[in-house]
Amino acid sequence: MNEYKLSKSEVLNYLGYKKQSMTGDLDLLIDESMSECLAVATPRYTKGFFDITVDNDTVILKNTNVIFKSSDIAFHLNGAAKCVLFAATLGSETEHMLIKYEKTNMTKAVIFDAACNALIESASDSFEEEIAAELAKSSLYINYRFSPGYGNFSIGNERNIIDLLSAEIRIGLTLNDSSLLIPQKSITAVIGVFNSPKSHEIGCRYCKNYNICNQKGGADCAV
Amino acid sequence: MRYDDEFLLFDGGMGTMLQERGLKAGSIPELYNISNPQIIKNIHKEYVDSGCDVITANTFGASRHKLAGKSTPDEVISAGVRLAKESGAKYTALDIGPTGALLKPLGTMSFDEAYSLFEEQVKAGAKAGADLIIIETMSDLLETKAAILAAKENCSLPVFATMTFDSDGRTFLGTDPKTAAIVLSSLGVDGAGVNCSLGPEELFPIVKEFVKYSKVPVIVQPNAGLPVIENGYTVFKITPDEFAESIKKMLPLGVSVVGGCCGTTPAHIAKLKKLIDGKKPYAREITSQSFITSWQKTVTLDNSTAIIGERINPTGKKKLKEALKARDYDYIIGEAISQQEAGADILDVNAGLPDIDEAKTLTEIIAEIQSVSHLPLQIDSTDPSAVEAAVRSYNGKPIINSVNGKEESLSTILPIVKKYGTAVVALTLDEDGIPDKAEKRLEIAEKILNRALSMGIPKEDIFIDCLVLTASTNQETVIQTLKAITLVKSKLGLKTVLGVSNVSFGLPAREVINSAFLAAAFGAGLDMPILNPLSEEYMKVVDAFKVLNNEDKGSVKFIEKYASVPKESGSQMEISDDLGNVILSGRKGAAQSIVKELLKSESVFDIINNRFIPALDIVGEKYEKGEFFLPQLMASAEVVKEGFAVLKEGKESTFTKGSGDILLATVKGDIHDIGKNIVKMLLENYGYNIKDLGRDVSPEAIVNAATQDDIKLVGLSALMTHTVKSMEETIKLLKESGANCKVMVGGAVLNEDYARMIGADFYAKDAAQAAKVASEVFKEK
Repeated sequence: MNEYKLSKSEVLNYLGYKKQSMTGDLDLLIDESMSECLAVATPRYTKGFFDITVDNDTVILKNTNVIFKSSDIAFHLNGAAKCVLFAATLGSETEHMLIKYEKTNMTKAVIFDAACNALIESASDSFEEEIAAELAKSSLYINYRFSPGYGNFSIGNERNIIDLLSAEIRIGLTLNDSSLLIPQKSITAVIGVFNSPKSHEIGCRYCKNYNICNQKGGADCAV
Repeated sequence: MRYDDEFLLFDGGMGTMLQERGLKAGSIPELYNISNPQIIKNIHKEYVDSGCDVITANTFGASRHKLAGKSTPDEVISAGVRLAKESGAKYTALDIGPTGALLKPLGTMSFDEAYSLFEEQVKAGAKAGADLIIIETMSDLLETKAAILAAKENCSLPVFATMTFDSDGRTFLGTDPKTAAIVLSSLGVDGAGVNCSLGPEELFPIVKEFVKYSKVPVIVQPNAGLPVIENGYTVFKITPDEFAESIKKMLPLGVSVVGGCCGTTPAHIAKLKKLIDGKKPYAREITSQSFITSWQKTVTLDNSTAIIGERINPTGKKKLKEALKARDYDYIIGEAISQQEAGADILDVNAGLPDIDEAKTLTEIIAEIQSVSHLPLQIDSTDPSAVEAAVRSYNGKPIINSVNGKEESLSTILPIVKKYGTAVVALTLDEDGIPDKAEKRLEIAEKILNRALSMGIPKEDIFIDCLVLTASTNQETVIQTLKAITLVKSKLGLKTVLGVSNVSFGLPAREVINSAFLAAAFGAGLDMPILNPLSEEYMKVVDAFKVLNNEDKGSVKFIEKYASVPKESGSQMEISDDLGNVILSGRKGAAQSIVKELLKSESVFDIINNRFIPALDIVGEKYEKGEFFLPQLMASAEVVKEGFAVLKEGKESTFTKGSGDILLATVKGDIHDIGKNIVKMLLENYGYNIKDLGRDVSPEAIVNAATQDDIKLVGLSALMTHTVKSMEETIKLLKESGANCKVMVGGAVLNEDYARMIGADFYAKDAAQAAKVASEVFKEK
């Protein structure tokens, strides 16, 4: 039903695949898990536009009671006219499937988990494109998703994003007391909106995996 | 207050009205009840002037969880209800929204915690003088059930409940409008329906479906379209005229309670008032079909056959008994899934063992099964307290198995059926046992039916089990069972259930007798056989009957299943294959026969130490070197798991002694447990006995389990810095308790230094490393 793309090379990436030789059975299982993931996932997103004031280490979201205190998010939004708060989730059914496979077929569980990770990223990419297209009409440009937990933009900001977007009511995305997004396969982020196109900076600090990466700057970096 | 043959008009949105009056996004609107009461009262007054009957107090998020210590539910709710009443409202509704946390199994909040939050809100609202309760904007059917029970158990006010649906026609947790209508009605609410979610136009098909299955008056309170957040303000675009026009189309469906949700204003409500003023709701037909549901699937019994899988019942099943005692629920989940895949429509769940806490066990396994299966369940117990505990937190409308004609049973079971709106299996036996004659069984069925009807339990929720005795001892009564089924169906018009396997007890070739009996019972009118769906013989009869009964239209399913030539089992087992190679290549299904063969010449101990472990070591090494990637590691581990299953058959796990017990848990607040489960799989492969406490496990539970079983190694997992804190607490508590164990930790944000810093003895970066840690710990001993 949905037309989200799920790239096998991305799934393999999440699984740590580095051209090892694998059996046809395993290859088939990966294909099967990917189609199942696409079939049961219900990717949804919600967004809001906020005017902002940025200085060195704070971002004030106007008309709200929220201030982001982080030099990394301030850097991310430096020069931006406004920002987009973004939240996306694959929904609850993939979570049930994961629980099921973790109890009955661990090989499939790890593959399905990787497929979900790849899907939430690619669905978010296409949501982001939608936002970019919408803004392009007003000659505005976006940079990229920067999530709580990246750099010094603390996980505590998940709560602000979820609340400002009413994400619980709009897309069924909640936060537990440990600031964990539930459903697990979900993303929240802040995207800058600019008057001129932004070239995508490269380097570790801008990497979407910055927070979860174990080998910052390592030679094996595949990104 | 009437809301069936009179329209009842609710007010509209509060959030956008408050936003226009200065409420900043991100703040808690309910606190305005205390800080800016006049603003709230004025909004209420505008709605009163627009002509609505019910003013919804500003208490939607006034739960302890959402107020997060900034005020108390009691304070916010008493002020909120008072302001609504002072505005001149005809009726004041206590508004209850979702807790904001997702319930288990997907989230970390328990049913009881959710209940206690709602209980506080209900008590505060009733005390403050609310006239009714509206539970709204719900996505989770189980959370809605907790709120409804909290409302009904703590006050006597009318209770309305609405859920919110998305464009795919389901709530965010997967409940469809049919299932929602059935379950909410059966819980005895005074009105049920749909709110929030989409705009009124898009809601039409959802409302149409809901009305068809609701037994109570139907409420509709849509948003004024989908919200857009611009410059921090949430804006809705549907005008009052458009809104009223869409609602107008819904009225002929039989909707009798209307109002607005997010983005609607007094102008929207005034238009609705004009629409319904002086009119009566359209009459609608109330369904009398029989339904059983989970939270996202409804089984409808309408000239159709539903198979109840019987395998989750410890009677005569040694493995299941052991699994229940050891709380090894993975085994039970396996039974649930295999029955589902074999074609069961409903699963019977029985945890009746003399030496376990049945209420607790039954509730736990039902939650476990519901976390992986959509099938509705039949809760099977002779202990009324276990039945009540289990149906209370069941997500959906279950069947209770069973009540019978004995006074004691009628007076204990039927009140549970009524209160929780379940269906029930009624056995045709009473104080004098099972009557021989069909007519007598009919009499008992009728007696049970009349008692149920007198308590307000609908006829369609009673399923009669006419009971069959074994042909080897009571041959002459078998035919009476079949007769009784026909009588119950024709005289009472009730649906029937029957366990079919019992009839062949004591005879050879039991499947032959059972299949013939099943076919005869279908002929007599049986609706729901209870049987083993893994038996191909029974399923053949079922599939054939569905053709003959005109259920399998065009015999489509039958042809699909039986027209193809049975495949030759292509992969002839290569017994000569080396077990090591099979493990390395991760070939599923091949290990069992090889291990069986090896057992003829080798001891269990030798197979583990000379076959499994060396192969696993190679797999682990390849994984560490990057020659294998994760799925390959897992596939190899699963082959060994299959091999272990063969070794364990009848061996009472004596061989694991000496290799040690390891306790694993994902710490409190965390639900990301896939890493822990990978570790579990590999450690089991090495012969360790794993006690898996699951995810979101409190430090206390971990300490208790570790000290109780004198555990030597505890493995903890946590995904993020926030939950690593909870890991640190757990380690601290473990050390303080004097538990004689080492702690190994793992998780995405951890490393060697971080692990030491929080007091762990070992850091394992992956499962292969965890296996090395375990061997080090147990070598020391």
